[in-house]
Amino acid sequence: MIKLNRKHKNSLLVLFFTAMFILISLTPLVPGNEIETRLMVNSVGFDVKEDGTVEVSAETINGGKNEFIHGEGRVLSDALMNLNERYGRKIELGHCGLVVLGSDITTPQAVAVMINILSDGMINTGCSVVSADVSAREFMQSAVLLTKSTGGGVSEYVSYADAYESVTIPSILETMQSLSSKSGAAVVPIIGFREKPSEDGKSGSIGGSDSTEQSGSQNDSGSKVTEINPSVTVRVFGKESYELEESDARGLIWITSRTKGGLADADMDFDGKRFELSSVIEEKKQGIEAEFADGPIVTFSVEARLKFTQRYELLDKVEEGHPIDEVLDNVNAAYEARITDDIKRVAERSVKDDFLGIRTKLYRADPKRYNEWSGDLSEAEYRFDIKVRVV
Amino acid sequence: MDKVNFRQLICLTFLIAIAMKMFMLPVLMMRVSGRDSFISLIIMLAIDFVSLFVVCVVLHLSEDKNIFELLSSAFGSVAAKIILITVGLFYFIKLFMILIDVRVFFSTSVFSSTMSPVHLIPLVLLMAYFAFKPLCTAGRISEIITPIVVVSMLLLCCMTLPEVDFSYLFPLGQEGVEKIATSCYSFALWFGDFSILLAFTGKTAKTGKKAYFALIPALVGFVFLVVFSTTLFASYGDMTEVLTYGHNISNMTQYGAGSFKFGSINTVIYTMWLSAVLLSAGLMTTFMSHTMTYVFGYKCGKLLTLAGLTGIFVLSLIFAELNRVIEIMTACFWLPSIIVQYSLPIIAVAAIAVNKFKENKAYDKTEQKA
Amino acid sequence: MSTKSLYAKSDFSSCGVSGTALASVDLTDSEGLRDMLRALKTADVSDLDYDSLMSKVLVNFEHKFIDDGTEAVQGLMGGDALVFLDKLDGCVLVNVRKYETRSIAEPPTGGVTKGPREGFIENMKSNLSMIERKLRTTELKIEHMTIGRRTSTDIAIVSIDGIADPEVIERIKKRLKAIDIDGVLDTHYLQSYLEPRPYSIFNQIGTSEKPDIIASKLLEGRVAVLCDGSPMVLTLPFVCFEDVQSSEDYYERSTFASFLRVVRVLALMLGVFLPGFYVSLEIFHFSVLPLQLLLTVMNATKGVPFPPLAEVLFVIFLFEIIREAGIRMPQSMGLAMSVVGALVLGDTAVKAGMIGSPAVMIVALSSIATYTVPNAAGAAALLRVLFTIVGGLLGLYGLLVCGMILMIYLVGMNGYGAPYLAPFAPNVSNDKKDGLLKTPVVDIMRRPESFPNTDGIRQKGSEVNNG
Repeated sequence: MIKLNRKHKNSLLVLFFTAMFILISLTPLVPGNEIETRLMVNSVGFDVKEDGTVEVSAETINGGKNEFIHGEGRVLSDALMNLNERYGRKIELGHCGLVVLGSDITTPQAVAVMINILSDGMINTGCSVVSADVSAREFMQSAVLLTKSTGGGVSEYVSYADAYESVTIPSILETMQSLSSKSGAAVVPIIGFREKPSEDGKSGSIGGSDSTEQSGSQNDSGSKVTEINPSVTVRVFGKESYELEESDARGLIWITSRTKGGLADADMDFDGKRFELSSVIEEKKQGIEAEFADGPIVTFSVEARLKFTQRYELLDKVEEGHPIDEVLDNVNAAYEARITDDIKRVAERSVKDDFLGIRTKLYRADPKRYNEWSGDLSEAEYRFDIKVRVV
Repeated sequence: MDKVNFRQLICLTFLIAIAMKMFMLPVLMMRVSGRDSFISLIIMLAIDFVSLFVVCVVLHLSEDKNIFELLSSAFGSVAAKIILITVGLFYFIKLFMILIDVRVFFSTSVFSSTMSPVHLIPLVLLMAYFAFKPLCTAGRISEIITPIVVVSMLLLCCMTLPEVDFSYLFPLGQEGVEKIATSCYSFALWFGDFSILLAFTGKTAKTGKKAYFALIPALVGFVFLVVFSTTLFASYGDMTEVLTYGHNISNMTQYGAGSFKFGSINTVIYTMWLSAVLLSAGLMTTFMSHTMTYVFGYKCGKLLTLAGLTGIFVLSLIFAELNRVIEIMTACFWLPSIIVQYSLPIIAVAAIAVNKFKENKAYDKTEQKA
Repeated sequence: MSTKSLYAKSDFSSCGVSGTALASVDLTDSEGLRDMLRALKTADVSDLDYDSLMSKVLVNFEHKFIDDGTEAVQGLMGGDALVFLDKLDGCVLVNVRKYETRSIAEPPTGGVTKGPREGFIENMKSNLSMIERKLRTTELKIEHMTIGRRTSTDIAIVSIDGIADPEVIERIKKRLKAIDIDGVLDTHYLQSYLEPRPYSIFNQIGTSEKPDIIASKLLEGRVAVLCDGSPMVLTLPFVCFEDVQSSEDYYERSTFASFLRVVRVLALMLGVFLPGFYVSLEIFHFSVLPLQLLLTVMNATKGVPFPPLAEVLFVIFLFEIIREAGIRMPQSMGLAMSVVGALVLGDTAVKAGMIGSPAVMIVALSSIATYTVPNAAGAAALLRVLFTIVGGLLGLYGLLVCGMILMIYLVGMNGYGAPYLAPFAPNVSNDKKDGLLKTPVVDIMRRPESFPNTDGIRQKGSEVNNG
């Protein structure tokens, strides 16, 4: 065993540091600034053309400006490579917050894309997934232009909608979980554009029953505003991929845990008069229970507390002599009926593609019975346990 | 005075409980038994817990004898040397596995363009440095690292758990008993770590019956381990094809809402957690070094340890591909793992019993003569 | 040109006995010397010999009888006077030393806002008197020795009998006695002989310029080593955490003191790890950075010609130049050059695109942070460079491995029975009362247990403690 005396140890240490200094001073040998070789992507969109070509469109943040970039290839990795080559940098999806699937993308194509980016570890599992009402390329091109003024980018705009509005935006992992489960279907919200007449050259108001939030820009004439419109409409990825209209998809607001707030509407007939009720969802608890009895039984439960925004309209009835409790009870009943109706509609639509995850719940409840069952959700009995309290 | 105190023993037990099982293992288990990896994990941890109990018995009853003295006084010097050489060789393989695990974790996340075994050199140097240090070094380092690891795990819990839907874990038992059993024994190399604590036989200062308290931090470690593994099992239970090596628990922290805005702090937390892994590996190296020293003497023992570490580096050049390494480990080394790791504490207890018997016999003879 | 003699000789005759007094010209107090000679000449003692000389004539002077020629020469060269009586062997050494020293003032290395401000000076006698004034106990033990063939420097080993471990004292004395050097000019000369690992970058001996700190360390069971000509006093044994403690902690409320200690420890860690962490994130782990911060860094480092590692090392080097020049340069140029250093080198270099502003900010913060613990600033500065290089080449992986190696090194250090990282590794519960979180003095019942001492009880329970 070579034993070094202290003098030699000291010399070796000096030699080591000298070598390190020389090594570092030869800059080509030192890792370059990795940041500068990367394209930081804020949001990314995928399309698959009829001939199978994969198109990747992305919003990047380059020098403080948001820009649109695009690449295409035979498969996803080729498309990403093409993108890298076009812009001379490597795409970095680690900070990507939004994945946009084009309107024409089918379920198997969507699954393939998401599996690809998830398995390579390129993207965060918490990244949001939405569908565009046009191709992802068109959407990204327009959205980048529209959100330039906000500075935050498309993903930040969409995440606002996720946090504050009645839009159920799942993460990429949740979407894949739904697609890989027994249910084999998932829903993602559709985000598109709409033109709206401007008021005095300003952007329109926030809120409204269809839950629009805007990031708008004025066109040349100043009379119309184009805005991004994250809506309640959803796209179902099941055996096929199709849109679910707002009237059918409204029930999703109530039975998915991702929605925390938003507006709730209902109609009430009281004392011979029809009232259009509007409230803000303050608190909501929900659940879907599934079990096997004689056949499958699915129970939807919702417990909500709503803040009524039109008290003044009902004050007349109170002044006429109706007790306030009676009025509120009627309001609660109206909401409960509406919610039940919404959930029924969405449950009926989910018979074809189980985007509510009912089959998964049935499988968890009793795998043996599940394996013996035909799998037809039209055999299921639906029960509703809806409790609303308006304050 | 190369001893560890009670507090250091507790810290070491906690760190060993979690160290090796947080990186590759959950993903590997899922590839075999899917969601039912949860059951396999619980079974193996239960076996490990029993093994720890046996180790505690050894630490309690061994008095001041180290493992070599214990074995040689019971079974003779030759038998003791054979046992310790076998143990040393085994831990050489296990150390190889740990170091490859750590190296690949960083290679895939950091040095993805240069996935070279050269990245193993700093680890080998660290292990070599550990090998020449007394056992109390590991004990003292564990006292520094444990609070950091605990805080980082709690932070991970806060960031991850609220967003996870654990209902995806169910239903259990659908993969079948065969797959669960395969998942149990195939990965035996990743378990049985508590046998390393036998390095502290005769070197625990005034511990006595308090050694059994080491079961508590092990339980706490297991709870953390099961929670994080279950997160992975629940999240990817239906889509194991998505999982590659990079999809270990580190990705789970991205459940945290807006993590793409706040940055992947999980990398930093994982690095802190890795210190526990390196300590565990260092302890293994020290144990290996001590066993070689007991058998071959100080100088030869240290040289052999260094040779072993060099061998690990050479092996990593030959077996550069991780999947191949895992295949060999799970196919060939599960049986030696079970035999060495779980039988060593039992052999040590047997040695104590034999020594006690011999002492009683000698005492009786002396009494008779008197 | 004439040569002036260094020594003055005066013959005297007293009580029928003649003798000679010899003293240094430059190192003695002339008045004291005159008084001594007057005393000798007017002495009225029958049978004058050395005993009666010391007991009846030179009673007002510090004196001792010596019969060793070497000791006599050393004393003469140190400023003492020698009194020889004819026909008798030996001589009496009389202390009439006087040389110019600076006044007692607040030391530059130990500034405080509360508490005593006196500091040691270069005169060991004055230093010892300051310690004796604080520790008025007969158990205070001072052992003298001289070291240095050509300097004969006075060294004092101070301890409290009944508290300090005799083995520690013996080990210190043994090491000091083994020194065979031509000159010792400062306590730091002794430091490398007393340290277990003199090549280490870490302090292994405590140093202080304040008598209150030395007194408190003596009361804890440590041993102090003083050196004539140096205001710095060494204390042993030493644990790492002593550098984090400040005397001000004991003159502040314990909660605030705890807060300050936490700040110091965090600042020290920040100072050491921040540049390396920043470089590793910028090169390898930029996904760790939040998006907005990442964009800011990207924009700030755009166009910088150097890779991040070289850039940060360059800025560190720049700061070290500015720091060193700030200490060395004449005061008249200080202000102008500070402006040059800060503005021209810092601001202008950033504007010119030579270096990025994040790098300047990181290194500036790191540099300031290391000085929250001034005694550890040297080691921290070196470690900072090491971790920066390692972080730049191997990322967080390298920082982790290097950090582990450092930890192994530190936990393995033991000096004079004190583990270096005590009371944290190994854990010493009692010492943690004066550790990261400081408890009030009323609750500190025992002396530190991290290092050996012979009397562990510091105070017994009191009515104050019981409310």
